[in-house]
Amino acid sequence: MIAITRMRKTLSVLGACSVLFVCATFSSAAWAQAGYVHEVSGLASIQPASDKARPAKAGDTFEADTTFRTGVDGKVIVKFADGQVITLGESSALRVGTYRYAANDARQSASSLDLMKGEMRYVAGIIGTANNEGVRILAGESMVSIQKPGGADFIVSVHPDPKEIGFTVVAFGEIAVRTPYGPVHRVANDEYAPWRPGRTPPEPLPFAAAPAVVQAAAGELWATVLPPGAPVTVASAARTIGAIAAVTQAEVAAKTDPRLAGYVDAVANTVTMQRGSGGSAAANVGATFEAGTSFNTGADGRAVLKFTDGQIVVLGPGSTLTIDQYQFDPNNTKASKSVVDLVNGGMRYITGNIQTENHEGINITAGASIVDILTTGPADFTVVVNSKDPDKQQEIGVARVSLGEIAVFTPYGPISKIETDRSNLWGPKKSPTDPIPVASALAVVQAAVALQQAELPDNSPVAIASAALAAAAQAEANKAQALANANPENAQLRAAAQAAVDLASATTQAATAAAEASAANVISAMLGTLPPTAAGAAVAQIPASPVPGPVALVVPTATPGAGGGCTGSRC
Amino acid sequence: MADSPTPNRSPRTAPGSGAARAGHRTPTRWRQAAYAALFVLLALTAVQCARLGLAGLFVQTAQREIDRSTAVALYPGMAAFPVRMPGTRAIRDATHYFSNSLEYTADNPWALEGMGTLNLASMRISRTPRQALDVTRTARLRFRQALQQRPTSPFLWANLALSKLYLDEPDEELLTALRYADALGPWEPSVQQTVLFVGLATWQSLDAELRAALVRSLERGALRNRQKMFEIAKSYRRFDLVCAIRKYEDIAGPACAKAAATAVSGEPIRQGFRR
Repeated sequence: MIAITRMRKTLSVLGACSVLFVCATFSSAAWAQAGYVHEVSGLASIQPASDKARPAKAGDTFEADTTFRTGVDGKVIVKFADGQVITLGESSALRVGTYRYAANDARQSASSLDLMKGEMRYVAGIIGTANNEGVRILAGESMVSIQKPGGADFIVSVHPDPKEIGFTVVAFGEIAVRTPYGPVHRVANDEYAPWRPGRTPPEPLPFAAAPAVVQAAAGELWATVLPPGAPVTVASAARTIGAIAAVTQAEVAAKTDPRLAGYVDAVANTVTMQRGSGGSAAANVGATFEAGTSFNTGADGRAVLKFTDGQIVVLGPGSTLTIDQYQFDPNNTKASKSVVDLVNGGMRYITGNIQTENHEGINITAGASIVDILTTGPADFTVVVNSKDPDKQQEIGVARVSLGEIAVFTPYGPISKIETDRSNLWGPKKSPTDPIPVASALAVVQAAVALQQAELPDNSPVAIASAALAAAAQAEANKAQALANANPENAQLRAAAQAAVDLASATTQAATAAAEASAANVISAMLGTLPPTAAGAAVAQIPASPVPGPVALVVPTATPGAGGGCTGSRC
Repeated sequence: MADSPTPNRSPRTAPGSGAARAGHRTPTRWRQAAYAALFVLLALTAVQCARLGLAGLFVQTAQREIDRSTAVALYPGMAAFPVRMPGTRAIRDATHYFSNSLEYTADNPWALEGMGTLNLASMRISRTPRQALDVTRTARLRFRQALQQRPTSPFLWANLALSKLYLDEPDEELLTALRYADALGPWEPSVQQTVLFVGLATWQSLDAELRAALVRSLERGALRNRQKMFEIAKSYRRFDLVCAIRKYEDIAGPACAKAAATAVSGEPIRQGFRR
């Protein structure tokens, strides 16, 4: 009897423990997952409190104490369990601090956000609607509070360096802002309130009276399509969004990759690009381009362009390059072609897969001259032309070969062969004994020599989207590190730099994996076309590495600061 | 027939030539030269008229394209400021017509003004700050160029002030533009609205005279333009200005009463009654 009683007691205790355990498990899960990433575009990272930053992707879940960062052209939309939605604009950093959501008691719920830099749009969920005092939003050194229950939809932007400049625009609800320069008591619907150093914040103005740059920045965030503001079960919503994003990404990749010719791997100073008949825009690292795009470098500008087949073009200062045609199909390299026209200035050209697989597909002009690559293997050469006069009758040029052999058909006659480590100069001569003007010749030679001194990516084929993203991430990391080095006592900058480096590392790995996957697809496709032979299985006949590996380029280490301080990945 | 001089024959070679005949011939030649000059002048005038006419026609066509567009609220919560927003196609077509007009007369102020207005419209649909800044700068340049041809146009001065507001340049040029716009177009409803809109945005930079001019503009606006003027003042929470004008009483009465009541409660700014 005693044994039965004891057993009952033991079972009761065990049962209670089990119930508690299950409750604890479920409740901790409910507390743990604060929200999920709804949408990502461009470069964006997510960094949990005790982990490294990694690329953010739609469907990622996150907990409290997670930091999101976006690069140039980056944007991320996150949704919280209570329906709160944050859209983080470009070049921004947001830390989700504490987050508690109790579906049945809003007063027990709280959400704190810290916008360290950049801009975000905040749309309140259940917490902001029913318990506005439970929402705490820091923006730089300013504090934003929602003034009334019922929620709010507003944009806040801060740029902390060197002293905080910020603004807020409200689309719905009422907020107050305590800035380092004084309070803004009430910003209502359709109002804009700026703050800047050295003056008391003015009373809010209608948004329609805001400066053009503010209207555009806010307009971009207003135009973003947001998910519905209803509360969600984070895990299932994240799974759904992740699945949709994967399908969309695959569709986008399948549709866009064939059109893209390459991406900007590095830029220094002023470099602009013009797509087809469109307007001219600054060429940022990671920007992709198609055939028909022209690049212009300023007097101190430099750019490194990498093409899908691995071909690399380094543009020197004061240069104009047009990519007239470009087509690369790794499954059909014989149909691939590349036609580039250096209108003026200097470029270093490193061949890629098209040159090795389809020599005839390469067509290079430089000013009024035509460059012909004589070797079928890899080549690396620099050509500089000064042909600014409209008739191109006075062209002065130089070609220097680092690898392979080329011929140049100049307006003054052909140079039948320039071998490795040789240079040739051409220019107008009245008679064969006339020297080429020394000053001009010296300038083009100096430009050619400068172009040789750059560290470059390898010339293996790439998956454009991921490689472009990796280049952009690396550029962001370089910038963040430079900023952190300039302010060694600033822990926040150091943390941001470390996060940027982690992200760059992760995106580079992803880019390598994508390139390898692409190469594997090529191998599979080739295997599918090979007839069975008596010599054995088709796979045995395929060389170990059918996609040509990186060319062993002997290049000097980049001189720090040479070329005006590259902001690119490897400058 | 014999009396009429042959154009190719000089008086020296003409048989039986005399002073009287030579004297008779010279005026005829002068007359012919004058006719020719007149003809050339008329032809040039006709060409110029045709050019101006065509330029004007293109401006009118472009204006019709813009007028066809409807007023919309561009952003959520922006219903208070519906903007007559030409669609992308309307902007493109109107730009094409304005460009054609400028081809005929490079400094046509109406075309320049139209292009500037389209630039401001483009600013409102820009999605990058850089682009917005570029088009607003272009608008400012075009208004400045147009003002060189029509310095007495209040619309141009008002638009110049607006473009400078969007460029965040509350400087002397903006204040001058406001002064001229108000002085040259005191009874133009759109000028009144723009002057009030820009003036209230830059209120802290205005001198006493310009502030007084703004209040007078608000008073004048009450006659033909009351609702819109009130909406603008309300959007800046400037009930102190509008409630002091009796002509606004019927539309601003409730808002003024509410604002006054909250002002007594000791929270003038929180509730919108700005001192």
